[in-house]
Amino acid sequence: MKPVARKSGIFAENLPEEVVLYDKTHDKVHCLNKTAAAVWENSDGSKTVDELTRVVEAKSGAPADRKLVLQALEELEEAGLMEAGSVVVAEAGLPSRREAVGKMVMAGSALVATIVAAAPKAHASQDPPKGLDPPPLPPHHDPPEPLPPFGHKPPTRGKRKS
Amino acid sequence: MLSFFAYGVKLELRIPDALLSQLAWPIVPGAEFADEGQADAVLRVQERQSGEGETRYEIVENGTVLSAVCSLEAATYAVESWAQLTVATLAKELVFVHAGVVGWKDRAVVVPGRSLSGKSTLVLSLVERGARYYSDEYAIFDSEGRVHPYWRLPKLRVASDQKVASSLLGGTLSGAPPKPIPLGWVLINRYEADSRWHPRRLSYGGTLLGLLDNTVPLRCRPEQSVKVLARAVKNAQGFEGMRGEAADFAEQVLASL
Repeated sequence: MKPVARKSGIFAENLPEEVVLYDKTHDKVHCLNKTAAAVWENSDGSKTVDELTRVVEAKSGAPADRKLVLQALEELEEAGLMEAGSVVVAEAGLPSRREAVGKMVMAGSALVATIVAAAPKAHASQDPPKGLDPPPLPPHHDPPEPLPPFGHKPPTRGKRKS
Repeated sequence: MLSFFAYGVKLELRIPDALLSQLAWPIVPGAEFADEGQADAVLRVQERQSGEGETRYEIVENGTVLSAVCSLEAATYAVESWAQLTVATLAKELVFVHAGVVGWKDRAVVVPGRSLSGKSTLVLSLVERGARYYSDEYAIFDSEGRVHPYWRLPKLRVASDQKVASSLLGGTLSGAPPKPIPLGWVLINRYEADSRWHPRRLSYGGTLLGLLDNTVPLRCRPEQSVKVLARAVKNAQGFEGMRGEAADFAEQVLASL
């Protein structure tokens, strides 16, 4: 497997320890921690997972192993940040996603956090003074969903908010 | 018809005279009357009679009905809300984030949240405890990442709270608005009865996501929104946690900053 990051329609903003990506195609914002950012930046289709692991360790300055890189690849793929079909994570000995993500949440070290960029009209005020008609939802209102805690991921494989 | 400029946006309102006379000026803080002519956006209000003789007011932009209400009072509220949101969306030099804002130790405390999240009540509680009022609706960020005031009276849903807001801030708001200040703290909170504010510290990225999740022009101008807010959070601290009642939260927050 030689993963390829999807970079078209995406712009990146570097923060001290993270990278924030805006995906113009899907109107989503992703926050990648140092490891995930290094994996995404270096997934150019020329490196195997082992090679990526070495590059990630050198570039991120954070300890990385094959399992962590595979985990990052899986999360990046789920977030729509990898080219379709370039990531196949099915290796014996890899912890289940539930197990791995559970550990990361406990350690406060989720790799990718995602939100959906709301359309401006979704910000319409819904709180008229008492006694008045509430303005109905605007036509293109994004249905409200409970927010996941920022920087955390749910410890299940259920569909993510994004 | 009424045209005005606010935050660099020219907005035209085509509304019935009965409704126009109900609108409190300025409709958008800092708005100035403008001459007729090409506007950035036009809000129109159409009156329709129902079969039962009721008047229905439809607020329309570019042929799309944004709201439809059945009283003049509700229509007034809706026009004001849509006018403010339209300006927040189109203001090109600034990034509007749905949030309450107070000044504390010369830095901005920003509490992001959409409608019904209790922003106005939280802001009022913070002001009652010594923080400086900036906004109960939008945190406005300039290209340097500084936070500007949105200089209007907080809007509270309970009449008694509205009276408190008026008596607390009525005098202040008649004066000049405070200067823009750097972002100091971003407080992502969710109400849960009997909770105490024991937040966890957010990374810069987590803080930025908390702001972007409430950023009005994010889809229209994503690069500008992300860059401006990233600049702002680099010198700020973000926290996330559950909170109890507004008064307790305000007390706990100001004691901890």
